Amino acid sequence: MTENYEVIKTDVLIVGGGAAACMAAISANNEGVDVLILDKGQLGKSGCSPNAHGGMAVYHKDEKDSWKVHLEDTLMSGGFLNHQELVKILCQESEKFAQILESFGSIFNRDEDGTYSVRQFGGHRYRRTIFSGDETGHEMMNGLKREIYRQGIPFKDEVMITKLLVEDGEVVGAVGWDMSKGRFYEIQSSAVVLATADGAGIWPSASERQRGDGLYLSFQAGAELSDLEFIQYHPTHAWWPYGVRGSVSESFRSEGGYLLNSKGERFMEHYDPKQKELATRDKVSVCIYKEIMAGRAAPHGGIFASVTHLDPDHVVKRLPIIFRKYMSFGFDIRKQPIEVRPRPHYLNGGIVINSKGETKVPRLFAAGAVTAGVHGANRLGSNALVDILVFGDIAGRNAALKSKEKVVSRSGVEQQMEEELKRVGALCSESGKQRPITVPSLRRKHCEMMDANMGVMRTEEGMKTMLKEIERAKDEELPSLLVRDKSRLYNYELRDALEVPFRLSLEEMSTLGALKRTESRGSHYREDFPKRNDDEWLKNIVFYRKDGEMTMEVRDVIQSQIRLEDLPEYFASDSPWH
Amino acid sequence: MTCYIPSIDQPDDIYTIRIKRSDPEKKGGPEWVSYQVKFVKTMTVMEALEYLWDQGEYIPFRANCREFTCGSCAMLINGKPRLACDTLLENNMSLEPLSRFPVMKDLVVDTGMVKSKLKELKYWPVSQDRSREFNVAQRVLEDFRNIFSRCIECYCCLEACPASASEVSQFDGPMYLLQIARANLHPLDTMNRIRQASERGIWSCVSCFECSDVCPVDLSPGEEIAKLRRQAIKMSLLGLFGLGKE
Repeated sequence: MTENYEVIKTDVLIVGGGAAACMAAISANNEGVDVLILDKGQLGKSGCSPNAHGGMAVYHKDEKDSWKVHLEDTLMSGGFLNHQELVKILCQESEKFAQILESFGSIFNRDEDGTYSVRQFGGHRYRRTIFSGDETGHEMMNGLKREIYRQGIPFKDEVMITKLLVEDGEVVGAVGWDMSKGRFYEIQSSAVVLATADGAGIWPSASERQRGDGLYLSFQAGAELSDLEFIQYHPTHAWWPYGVRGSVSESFRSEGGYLLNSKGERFMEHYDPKQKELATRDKVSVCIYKEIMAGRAAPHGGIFASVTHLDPDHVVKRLPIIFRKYMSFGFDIRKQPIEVRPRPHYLNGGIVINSKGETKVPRLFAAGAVTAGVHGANRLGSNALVDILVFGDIAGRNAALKSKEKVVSRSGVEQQMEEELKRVGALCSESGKQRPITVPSLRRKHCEMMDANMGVMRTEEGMKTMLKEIERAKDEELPSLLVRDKSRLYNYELRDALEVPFRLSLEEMSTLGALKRTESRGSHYREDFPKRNDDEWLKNIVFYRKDGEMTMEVRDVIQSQIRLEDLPEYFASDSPWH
Repeated sequence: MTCYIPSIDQPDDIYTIRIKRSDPEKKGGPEWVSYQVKFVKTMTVMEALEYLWDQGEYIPFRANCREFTCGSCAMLINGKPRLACDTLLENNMSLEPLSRFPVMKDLVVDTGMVKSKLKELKYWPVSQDRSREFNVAQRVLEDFRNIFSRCIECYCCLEACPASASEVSQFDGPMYLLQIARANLHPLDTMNRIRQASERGIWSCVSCFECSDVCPVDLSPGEEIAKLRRQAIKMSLLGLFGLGKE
């Protein structure tokens, strides 16, 4: 007998709880339809939005700046693999969002004359990034959360979506597991917006909260995924003292911090005598890796980052957050160098969407970090927070319009529910499992292997090793996965087990894509093909299911706004493989 | 989640932690259980709990950002409300769920009451014309940047406050008053927040500053309450209490 479940009805189901989800919910609600947000964590606290520090590139303040220049910058950083129509929307629509967020209750920094203060981020030719101190994402969520409360949009925390319900090729709802109540839901909806995080958590990303839920769920439902080989590593993530987490912001280097190897050499001087520590993120990451692999790592396996040569007062004044962060671990950065290491930060690829936020599957929309196209092969700093607002809004609005066309039939849903609950039940059952596998062992091994073989520097051999391991895990470990705790209430062991297929399928597609791409571009660097190849590789690698099988397709990039040859700056742009 | 300290297999020491566990699906009340964890220098309480997860001991606790910006992992550590991600592990530490909220399971508490209270307070900018353009004074900007934008809603101050401990207390608790103070400063807000703050118990605050002591991001809700009081006194002296903003 399968377990009981509760039926919930709504017009638009929003999956996620960060800024894209909130924006989508607000825009859908403004269209006058019923909206329900289901968040795997807690709304406003979960996902990546609340601890995005930098800012959002929304304000083309400089006279010479315009949406067009912003578009060019985004394409150059994205290795020209971006979906140009989406980038155009991003750069044109972005301006209104500062005011919208402030009407919700956020406040952004302003200059004496009352206009928004702007910062310059790497790769942007003009200062166009607005911010709120260095807690911009948090302040953004402050506003969005208030608006959700004000409009009284219903949301449920700690509900994990385990499957999208598909009927006649359309998404008609989802299966949800409410961890806080210990029960399952059948959610009946007329449109679904996936606004979950990207999939960087299949690498050892610092918080691992990007588990790839939306990518896997949409793929299973029939959507297309693209550009999964491009994982952005942030060059300077906290490594030692252990316990400190998150990235050591670029400001550490821009304020004069050095990167040093075990011999105390400023090794960036060898690789890039001009830019030194301030070279682009991809380049610094590769150089740090080269030092580590040459045996010149610091004692704990990272690379030293030091501001000990700077005026101590300057350090406290200009790097207050970093200073405070380390101080709470009893570590004075004014006196001692720390160790940093590049760590996975953001998966540039994701679900393929069009300019209405639609996926390939009718009634399924996606927005934000989970999508592909806006950032191409390498995301520009401060474009992510714009992406989630602009496309959250678009997806929410279009999902609401679509939901007005009611679903005709749900006749097959009951059977799908039963099958899904049976699958969950089987995870908790010992029958047929000779040598049961627990989740943590598999997880840790795969994180380490993805970092080693699919990290900053890739080789054909390494990627083939990875693929072999994925095959092995799929054949041997996946069927033997056992959840020992049978409870449905806050059973994180079950949650982790449900995520294993997300991980394996995403690992496989990412590695296959990287192996296929015989060049280096953006955040994809191959030691055996260290040069960019524009003649052959102005292409996106797309994955989808055909007759139940994973299919890979290589597609030409559509250069609808700007053609590569019309942008001479691109060829002069600074990257290790140009 | 995985405890990602690479040298965890060569620990500096073995520590014991005590966790107050409760499971509503099982009979009997909460019980204290001891666990051995491998200790590596500068490891946090959160990493000790994640280490236990890696060993197959899935003790529920909330975690998200792991760098003290989301406020999810607040719990009582040696009896004091603190963030697990911001507390260095010590031997024989005791961990228990926050005491002012109903326990759901082990270290997870039900924070639903905060949601209803914030809604009740209308903590968004209340305004007829929300698309109105406005300017923000630099002083207000500074306050937002240094105080109001930074509250991570971890509820440590609600846990520590003695004035709001009793259920019959007229005082909502420090975080709520901080949110009212924020709304009061937002240029679009037209509600009489000083009157609201009075109704919500600013006069019951005992100025003990326990809230400031436990705040993991170094805010001082107690000081903001004192400022609200000063404003309230000024307004009542001027006879503006019922007038002005509404």
